[in-house]
Amino acid sequence: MIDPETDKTRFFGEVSASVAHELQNVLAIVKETAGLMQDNLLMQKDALSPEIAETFSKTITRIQEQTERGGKITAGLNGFAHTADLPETGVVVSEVVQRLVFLSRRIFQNMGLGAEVDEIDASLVIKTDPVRFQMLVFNCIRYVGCAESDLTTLQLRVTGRTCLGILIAREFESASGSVSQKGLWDELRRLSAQMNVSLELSDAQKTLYLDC
Amino acid sequence: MTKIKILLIDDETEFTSALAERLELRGYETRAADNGVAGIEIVQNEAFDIAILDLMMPGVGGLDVLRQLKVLGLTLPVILLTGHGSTREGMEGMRMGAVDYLMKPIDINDLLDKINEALGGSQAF
Repeated sequence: MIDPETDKTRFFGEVSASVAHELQNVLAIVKETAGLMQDNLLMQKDALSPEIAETFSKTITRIQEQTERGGKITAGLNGFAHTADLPETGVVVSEVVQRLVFLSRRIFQNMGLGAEVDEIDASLVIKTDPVRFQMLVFNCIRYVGCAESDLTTLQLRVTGRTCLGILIAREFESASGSVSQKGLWDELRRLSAQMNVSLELSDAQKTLYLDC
Repeated sequence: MTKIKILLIDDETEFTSALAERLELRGYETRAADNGVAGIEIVQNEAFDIAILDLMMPGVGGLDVLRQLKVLGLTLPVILLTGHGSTREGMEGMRMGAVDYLMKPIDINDLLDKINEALGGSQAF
């Protein structure tokens, strides 16, 4: 029998992936139409005043840049939504972490926090629940962000420590702190226990380690 | 000089009509089909140099078209278009005989590069 929570997640993922796919098609049409306008503009350039040609050209470029941006977001959303397809599968850690950081950028920005992946071992693959794994990584980032008020940029490293290590490296305070910090720490412990992941808080290195 | 003939198969007709026009402005000849069945029918009656095929279409999807082309023994290079966020579907299509794939929204220059590469080589089914 399928666990009701898994069922809900899968349903949400399926619909979200489909919507993201539809948006990709819309963006593809907008981009091609803008491209066609640009082609026609180039052919008619001599018939237009330089000012009008430049205004059109700038407008078309802006449309193309924004469809490019939208395409990256919807592609990321589609990939993210598909992570709910299977309750357990081989997860390419670097791909999943990079996408999660990219898609969650706005959330972390609202906390006054930038997150970036600065070291990647693309060969790391683990068999796990992809949704829970992403929740764990997300909450680790949030935890470190809450714990360190002066923090502006958080660096993430995906490294081969034992069979897997995700290192969220940046100075931060210990787990005891404000209520929200404490709540997040408990949430991290709960998630990591569910996944048999060891969560290590190293004050000496000012680093939070996840070992799977 | 004979024009390179491209078959576009995609249910998004607004997309194919804009893309076809852009390719024609660059000297290609195009024909479009808005579903997999129509695409297979066209390719059986008319010669094309290359096909550009959307992976996800209602009914007969891109991978089904690839399979059918193989069954019919048609050696036509195919470039796949995918709206998926991961490379998995594109790779799967390449395993099934497509020469390459691009993610939507595409860049026309990337597509032209891939068409040239595909026609320069001899990779086919």
